[in-house]
Amino acid sequence: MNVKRSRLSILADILKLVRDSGGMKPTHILYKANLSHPRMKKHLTMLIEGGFIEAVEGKGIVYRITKKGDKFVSEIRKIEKLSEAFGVPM
Amino acid sequence: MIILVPSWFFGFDSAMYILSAAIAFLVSFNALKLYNITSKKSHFYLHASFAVLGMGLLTLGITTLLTLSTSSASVFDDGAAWADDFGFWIYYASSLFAYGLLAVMYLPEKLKFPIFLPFWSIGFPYFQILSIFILSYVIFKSAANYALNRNSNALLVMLAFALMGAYHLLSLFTSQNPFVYVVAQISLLSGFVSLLVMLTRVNKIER
Repeated sequence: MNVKRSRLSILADILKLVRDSGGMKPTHILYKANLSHPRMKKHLTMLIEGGFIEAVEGKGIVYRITKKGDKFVSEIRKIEKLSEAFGVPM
Repeated sequence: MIILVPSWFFGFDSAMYILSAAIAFLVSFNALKLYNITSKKSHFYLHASFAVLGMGLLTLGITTLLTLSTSSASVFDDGAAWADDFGFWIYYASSLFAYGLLAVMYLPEKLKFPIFLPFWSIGFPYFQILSIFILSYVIFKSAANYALNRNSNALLVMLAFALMGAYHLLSLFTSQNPFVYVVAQISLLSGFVSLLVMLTRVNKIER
């Protein structure tokens, strides 16, 4: 079944990936979130501007989740479960 | 239509209505958080339906409590009877509107339309029958959701709507036996408790 993902669910997916890995390179986000390069860049910019993730320079750029991002992921998970319970998709 | 209520149950029903209203407001608050993030119409309907249902149940709880406190053990004075009637009418109108919103929430996006409920539906047997009719669709959709997702929260929501439906069905027979009224009230409260359990599970912090 081909379901178009909403912007919110893409952002939540990226945040979950970054959170669960403890820090992730952009190429890994690209593959694991199943996004094209321009879309990934656009979403990462949104998340950085919102203060949900931060870019850490080391051997290349690694994205890490912030406290605000962590809290947002928990909130998203809760509302996802509520929306699933009632059967009204997000 | 006469509603037979066991005298020992006076007061318990008011408490049950108020408790159910509190749970309805909790569901509404959580659905508002959902709507604030998604801005989807269906999430707004979910929030609005439980807010309206909560207001109706709270009005009914307060007016039945007032009736109980202002009447003597066996006789209702005119003021108390008026308050009781007022509470029931508000509850009838608000719950029908709330069930209508829930039904619209489950309709496909292209079919969403405003529901105009016939005026005559706000009479006791008509209200119960129309409520059962609308809730049947809501129960069917929540059962379909459970069949698709097979998760406990969806099961709790389906159970909640089924118990609310059972409350309206049993309410049709409250003139037959006072015990039916008690079972109907327990059914309604159990439905809301089921929603409370679902909310607790949803809001459980997990890593």
